[in-house]
Amino acid sequence: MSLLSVRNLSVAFPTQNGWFQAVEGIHLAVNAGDILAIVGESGSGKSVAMMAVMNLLPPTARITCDELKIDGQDLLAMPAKQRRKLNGGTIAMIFQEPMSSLNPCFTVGYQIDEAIRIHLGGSKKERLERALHLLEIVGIPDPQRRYKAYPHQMSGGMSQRAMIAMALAANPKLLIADEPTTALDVTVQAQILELLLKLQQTQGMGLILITHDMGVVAETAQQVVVQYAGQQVEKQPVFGLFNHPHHPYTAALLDALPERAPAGDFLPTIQGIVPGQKDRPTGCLFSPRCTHAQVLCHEQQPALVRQPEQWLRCHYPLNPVEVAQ
Amino acid sequence: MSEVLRAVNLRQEYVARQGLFQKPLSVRALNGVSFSLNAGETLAVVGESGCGKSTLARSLTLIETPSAGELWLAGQPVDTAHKPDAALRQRVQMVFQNPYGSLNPRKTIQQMLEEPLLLNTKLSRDERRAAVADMMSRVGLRPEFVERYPHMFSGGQRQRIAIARALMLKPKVVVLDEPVSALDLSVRAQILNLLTELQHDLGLAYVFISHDLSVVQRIADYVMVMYFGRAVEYADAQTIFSTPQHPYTKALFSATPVAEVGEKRERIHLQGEPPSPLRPPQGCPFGPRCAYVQEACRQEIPLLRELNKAQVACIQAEAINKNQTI
Repeated sequence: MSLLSVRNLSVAFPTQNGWFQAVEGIHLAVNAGDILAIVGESGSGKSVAMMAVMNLLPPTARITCDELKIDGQDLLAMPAKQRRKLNGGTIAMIFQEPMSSLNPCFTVGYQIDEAIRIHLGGSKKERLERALHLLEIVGIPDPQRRYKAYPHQMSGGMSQRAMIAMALAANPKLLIADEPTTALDVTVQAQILELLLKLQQTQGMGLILITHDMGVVAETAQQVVVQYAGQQVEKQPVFGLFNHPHHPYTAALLDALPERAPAGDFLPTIQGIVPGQKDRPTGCLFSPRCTHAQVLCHEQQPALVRQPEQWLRCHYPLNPVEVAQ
Repeated sequence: MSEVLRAVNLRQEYVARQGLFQKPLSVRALNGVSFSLNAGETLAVVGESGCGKSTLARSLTLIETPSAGELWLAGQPVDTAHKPDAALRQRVQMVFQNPYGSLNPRKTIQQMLEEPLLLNTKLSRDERRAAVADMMSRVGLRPEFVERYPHMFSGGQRQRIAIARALMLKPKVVVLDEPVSALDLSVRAQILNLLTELQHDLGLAYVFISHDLSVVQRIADYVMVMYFGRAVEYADAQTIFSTPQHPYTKALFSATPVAEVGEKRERIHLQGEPPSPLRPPQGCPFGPRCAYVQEACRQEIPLLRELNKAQVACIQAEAINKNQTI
């Protein structure tokens, strides 16, 4: 049984021109010890989907889902109050901007202590010990001093470490990291990613890594889901995805990377932009930008075909998949 | 090739007030940077936040006049003691990182692109319109869009507008401050191609400020690695990417994730973070994070020196390179 299982999750937001489908029928299954990366450009719905899992979306959002289970507990059947208690306990999340996700009015120690107090309880002394221990685990030098520091007294990398310490406060089984290193410098990014991997291994957590950085994906993830305009278009183990992408979008995305592009003056590009609310094509959502699109692609939307090792939403996959009979 | 931009020992200092009764501290954001750039070439400046690369951009574009050092633009010296004249400023233009912040939301594209011409040239209304339409098609936007407002465009299109605006006065040098880091992957390639194309057609020199090494490797002719307000390594792109010599350059390169699976590279672990400019370390500024630091490194700040076709600011570069080849 997987740690997190999501079946057919959709999220829509009301706008002046009707409903905007931000996430369309996504599936996820994450086991303890798994590292799943969700890749996509802005507007692909990767963050919104995770916010829906965490129940952090505004009440106006219309969320539909066939199954949403974490650690065997059915979240759909659970009252909101009880679900709230899972956040920070069983599932924890780290956000992109460490500077803006810490409360500037309270010390870092207070904020870590709050998470421990709510989820684990214990005496003041025990909580302090745990907080200092957490600060040490995430590699903050001089935890005693940092415990009393305010967020503005710490650098971006240190703040992100403090965020991670807070997320780990109640020994979560699943950690969702939403672009955890995007706001950081590369040398600090390397430190943070290494830390996340180490913690994931030692604590046996499931880790969902939301990112748009293909380099980060290649070096950290085991499984990769590629999202485009709210849909999952491909899922593969990381090796296969980078070496034999089946969806033209994945392939085009990889080709557009400066380090992978063939030598020459110009990089291969993907023409056009991600479809918005009004110009969603009737067929495959990627068809207007796809160089391999055929008549069928413009008329009929391909279904997401899910095989154990790989998922794909394409009529004419590249690097043909050997169909398991 | 003609030289269009030369900086000699450029410095920029800021005054940081510590409190009402304390002596103000001076912070050296830029501490003696020199380079020269020819028409049609690209110099990439890389480094982490706080290393002075944006300060360099502001000094080169004369948004802030440098506090010391010489700056030559298109063969003419810039009088850094006085406010430089408009004619010189036209020679250098800048494109900013975030196209959502750098375009005035209350102006149409026509107004935005026309403004530099209005202020600096005596072109007639029709000539200005023609120039704007011409520039729009050059950066790959439909000329009919000129009456639109920035919010009607996507991020990539906005960056095209920002580039168009920078080119209206036919500059020789364009300073690009992280021009693609706010853009999505698929759009990033389009903008990089546009920049390459414009450079070919107009013979522009670029100062390309970036922290994304894969992009830099693609477009740069020369690379300057900055740390703590100084250049620690400066070489042509091929040399620096094939044989980085400064320990910081090596660490920076090895920390950058590569979108290839399978090959696990040796990663150099950098501990800690760049020093605070208010409390500069003794000697080599990279010393506190450097794995090869020796007593001699703490004595004085190493200067750039010629070493294997590159300029490196490390007194131990030879020893380190020798050890690594064994």
